[in-house]
Amino acid sequence: MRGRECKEIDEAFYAAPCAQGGEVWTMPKRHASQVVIQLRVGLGGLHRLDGADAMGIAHFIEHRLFEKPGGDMAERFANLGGDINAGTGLASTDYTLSCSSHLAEHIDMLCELVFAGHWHRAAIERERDIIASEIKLYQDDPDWVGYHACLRSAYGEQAIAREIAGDMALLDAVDADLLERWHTAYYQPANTSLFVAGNVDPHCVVAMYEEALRRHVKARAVGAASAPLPNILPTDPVAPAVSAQVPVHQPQVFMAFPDGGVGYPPRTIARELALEIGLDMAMGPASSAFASWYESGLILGDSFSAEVLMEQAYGFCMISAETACPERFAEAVCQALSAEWDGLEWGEEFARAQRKIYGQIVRSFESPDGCVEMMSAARQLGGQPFDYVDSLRQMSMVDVAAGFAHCLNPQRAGIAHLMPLQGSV
Amino acid sequence: MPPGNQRYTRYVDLYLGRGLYLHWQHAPNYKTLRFDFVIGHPLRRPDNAYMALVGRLCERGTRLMPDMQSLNRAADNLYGAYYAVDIGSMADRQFLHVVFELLDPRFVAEDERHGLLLRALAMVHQIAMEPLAEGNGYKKAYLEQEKRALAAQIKSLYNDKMAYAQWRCAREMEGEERAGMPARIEDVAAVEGSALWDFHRQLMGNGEIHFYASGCIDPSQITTIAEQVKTWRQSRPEPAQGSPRPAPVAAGRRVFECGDVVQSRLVCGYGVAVPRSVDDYARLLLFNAIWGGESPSLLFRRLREECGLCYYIDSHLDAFAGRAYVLAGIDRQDYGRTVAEIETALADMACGQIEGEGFEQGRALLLHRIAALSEDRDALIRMSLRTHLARLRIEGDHLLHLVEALSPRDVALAASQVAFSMAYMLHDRGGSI
Repeated sequence: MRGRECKEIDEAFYAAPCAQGGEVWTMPKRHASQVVIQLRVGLGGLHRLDGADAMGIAHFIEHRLFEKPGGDMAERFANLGGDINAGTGLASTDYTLSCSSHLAEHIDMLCELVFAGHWHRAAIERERDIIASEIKLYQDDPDWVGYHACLRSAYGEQAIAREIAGDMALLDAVDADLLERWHTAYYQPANTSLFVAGNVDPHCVVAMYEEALRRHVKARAVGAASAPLPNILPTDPVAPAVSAQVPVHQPQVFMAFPDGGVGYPPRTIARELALEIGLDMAMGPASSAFASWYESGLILGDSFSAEVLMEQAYGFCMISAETACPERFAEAVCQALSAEWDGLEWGEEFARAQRKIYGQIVRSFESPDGCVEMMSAARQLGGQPFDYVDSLRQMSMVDVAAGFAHCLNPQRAGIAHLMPLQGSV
Repeated sequence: MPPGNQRYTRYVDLYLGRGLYLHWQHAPNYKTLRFDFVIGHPLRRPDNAYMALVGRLCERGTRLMPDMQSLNRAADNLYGAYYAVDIGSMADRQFLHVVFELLDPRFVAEDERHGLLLRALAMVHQIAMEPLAEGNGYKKAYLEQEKRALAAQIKSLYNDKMAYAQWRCAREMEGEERAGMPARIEDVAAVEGSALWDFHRQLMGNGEIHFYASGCIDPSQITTIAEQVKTWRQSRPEPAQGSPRPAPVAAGRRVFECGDVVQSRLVCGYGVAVPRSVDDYARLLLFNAIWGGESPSLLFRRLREECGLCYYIDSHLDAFAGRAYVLAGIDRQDYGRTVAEIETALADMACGQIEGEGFEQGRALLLHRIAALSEDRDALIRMSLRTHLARLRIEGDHLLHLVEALSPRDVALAASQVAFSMAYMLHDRGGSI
């Protein structure tokens, strides 16, 4: 087991490989009243098998795994006071549990949940209806609609821009054999990571996980980790801005700035932080651009958002707002990103944003669930959690400038306008 | 898990006089210090419009930081201190809540630690009590802009169809005169600058102020904080005005609204017996956890897993307002069946037909939530406010013991005091119900 202390933020982190494959990452927190555990499986919507991508399938598997011959897993966790949730993303499926006691039993059940697949026809039929209901729920969410519309503008019809839960046609095509094949291919210990934070002993956690894997993976062939996802690149050139009518009160604008191109550096924690600093300098709440947009009424109150979403295979910045003037807002964003900074102003803004992001990073390690999120995010970018602290300390203005050049390029923005449906509101 | 972890912490309450309460939580595990300034006022029209505007204007600038940018820059320079002004409600009260969270001085450069706490306290005071003034009122341009922004924000509630449906259901239950949140657009439009300025001054002068300080704060620091907070009010507040009585709950109404939605949103509103003791409150919490508040729950199991009627179903409780709600996303044609299933589940619980494991699961999850309160400052503050609002001593340790001792009969008793009030549904244009 390798460990590292970070005195600057008063935390320690331990990582250990498992005998059966995969890794266990732990952050002990002596005073915590709950333990948070995340079992990440390296299967998300972007993964492929036999020439097809996993859009719809990875999510269907996540839903179906909860039902076992011995009863519903969520109910079995609940019997011990464990609160389980799961989510399917583009690059992974995450099973996250919080509990206050019975750690060994919870880890054991988590392995049973993830590695034991049961694919009954009648249950699959029922799940189809439930997932169809979930998809309809999202279709009424303007943020969801805008997010996908601007990704389609930036990435075309690539899987990254599609709905992870799939569509009705795809749901109809799902059967037991398909789910079994994908589950067997990807739900391997070598293709998982376990992240644990709370009042725990790292060595005990590894022993508990290995024992649980022995119980629940013994009947299966132990496979290798899946190959890394290929680099997802935007279309060149990006499609013109798209517009959709939805039942909203005010127009909304979504802008995706894709990262990536031939010869670009790999995506790392340092690059993610450089983009966060760059966005904050250009249009964060303390910037001149934000102040002028708010004062002039271009953006409405709390609706503005600018965030970085990055994993090793893809990355983009997403900027969105409610505004009465969608085109003017999009122009203003592009102007803010193209602004010429003089050296002094640039240095001051950089120092301010760097301090702010430092505070946010330290805060992220405050609670067990925050620690798990940090471990999980670091793992996705090929690093470890304290790289956030180290990378920020080493960051320079040159890194931020590179972030602007590689990602925050107004020429490559995918843009979607959501306009109010006539007579709807 | 290794023994010795502190299962529950709570605020220590100190009364400073002049309507000022200081609540202190010594939590050495936190990496931040957090200050919460909370002041309450009766929830009624048009004061809810006034309160919402005061909250927005508090964030526009203060006497010493006269615009949003300088306020935000000051927070960033305190290592990205987070601040926000929220307006919330609980039962028949509304609250202005200033949250200010900054890094514990242990984590900042050594030469910047000194005075950090006092700088943060000064910022909270500025934001809540010293708004930017122009003459004898708010800056007029800011006020007009915030009125427009608030009206737009209220209209944009429609963007979140589930939140909109719940708001419509609550409003239908309340009736025309009793006003919940958000405020009505016509009330926002009618607000005048001088009246709003007076409202803010009276609120700060007369309302009970609850100031919460949590983090690695030792007794000497809490003494310093108490001395500072005491200076924020010079005179004794006037006696508080009475709050309106809870409105009678309309029984058995059904309201349908047609909209451009793919999926219908159903909200069923219920009247519940307002808890008169902590035992009542514990019973109600457990009832809700088993009924629909946790996952899994009775409603989740029956409506989603057995009947496949929905993906999303949830129940939640506004105990001291005497209300409970069930929310679900369903197909329009399943309305009748869904409502019938929800009612059957409630009736079964009231008759004591609580499925064996469902009781234990709901209780175990509720106990886990209460045990985890020590890491959830927002939940702890809400609990503390309920304590003051209901004049009940609600503490985590006590609540844990009470919930542990409850039986299915207690839950049946709570369920028998829950009465259907109304159903509201926002549905698609494909046809009628």
